[in-house]
Amino acid sequence: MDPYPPSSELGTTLGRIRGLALTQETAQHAVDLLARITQETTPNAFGAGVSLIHQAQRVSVGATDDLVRLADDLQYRLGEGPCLTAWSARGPVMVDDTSTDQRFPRWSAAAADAGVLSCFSVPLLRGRDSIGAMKIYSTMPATFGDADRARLAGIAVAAAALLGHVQTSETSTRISSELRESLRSRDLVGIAKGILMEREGLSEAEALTALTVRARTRGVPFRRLTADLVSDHDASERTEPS
Amino acid sequence: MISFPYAEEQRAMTNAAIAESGFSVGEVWLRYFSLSGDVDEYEVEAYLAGLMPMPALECDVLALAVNELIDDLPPRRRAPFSDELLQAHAASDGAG
Repeated sequence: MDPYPPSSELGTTLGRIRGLALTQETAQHAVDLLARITQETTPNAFGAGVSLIHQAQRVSVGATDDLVRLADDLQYRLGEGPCLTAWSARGPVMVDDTSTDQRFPRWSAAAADAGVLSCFSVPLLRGRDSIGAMKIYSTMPATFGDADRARLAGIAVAAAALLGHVQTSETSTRISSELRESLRSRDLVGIAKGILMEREGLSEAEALTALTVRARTRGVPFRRLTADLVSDHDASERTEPS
Repeated sequence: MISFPYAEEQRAMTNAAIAESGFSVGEVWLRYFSLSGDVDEYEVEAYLAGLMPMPALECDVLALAVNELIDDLPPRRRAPFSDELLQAHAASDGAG
């Protein structure tokens, strides 16, 4: 038997954590690329952006330039704007002229000041979930025609399918704490096996068999059985003079 | 490697228990791993599909993992008896 069996499983486990951590970077790269492609295929657009939104918070944002980023940041700072509405209402939002549009008064005023005069935003929909929004901006009013809107809507469908599998940071935290928990549990089984091997002169496989039989006959979860065995051993070690 | 004559029966029934309770192989493997299981997830999946054998002890640890997951599921809803409802309402009316 392999004297160090856990190492390859540990590799698998750590690989998962690393894989999950990487998905955030992968998502960032993907949204940046999508923003660029959108801008390149839409000559009327001054800039383009993609936001992944989770519980009204942006988790990743891709933008072709600082003006797009500023117009986007303003929406989240002010809590209003075409992308937030596209995301929450799950439908396209067109702003032809920020200097006259009254639907998002604070955002429109700030965007017009910054030089963004028109904007078209579509939601990224994955099944029933809205996972973010894409938008194109222009420094001229009423720039985007039917062809531009149809193109962005088409790109958004493909983008949502690609980005839909990206884990939110919340899930990766949850999974890594599950993995930590399972490593601790596995550790306890190892210690419990060692105690039985030493105390009853068993081999490693015999000790594991004995533990599983105990868990089954007593009807206690394996985790509690091993934790109790380890803490009982700790207690007896402390009281016995060595 | 297999001296246990009912290994195939154990595999099929373990696989059926997982399918019936709706757990993914990933969930089962994580619990199995935390109970000191030594076989990789990919190979556990292959074992469950009947493509390769696992050592007898690993099969038992996997069975333990599946059973613990099933034990952790919320129990099915039970139907109340009339006197239980009368008692429950008397208690809450008295308190309110």
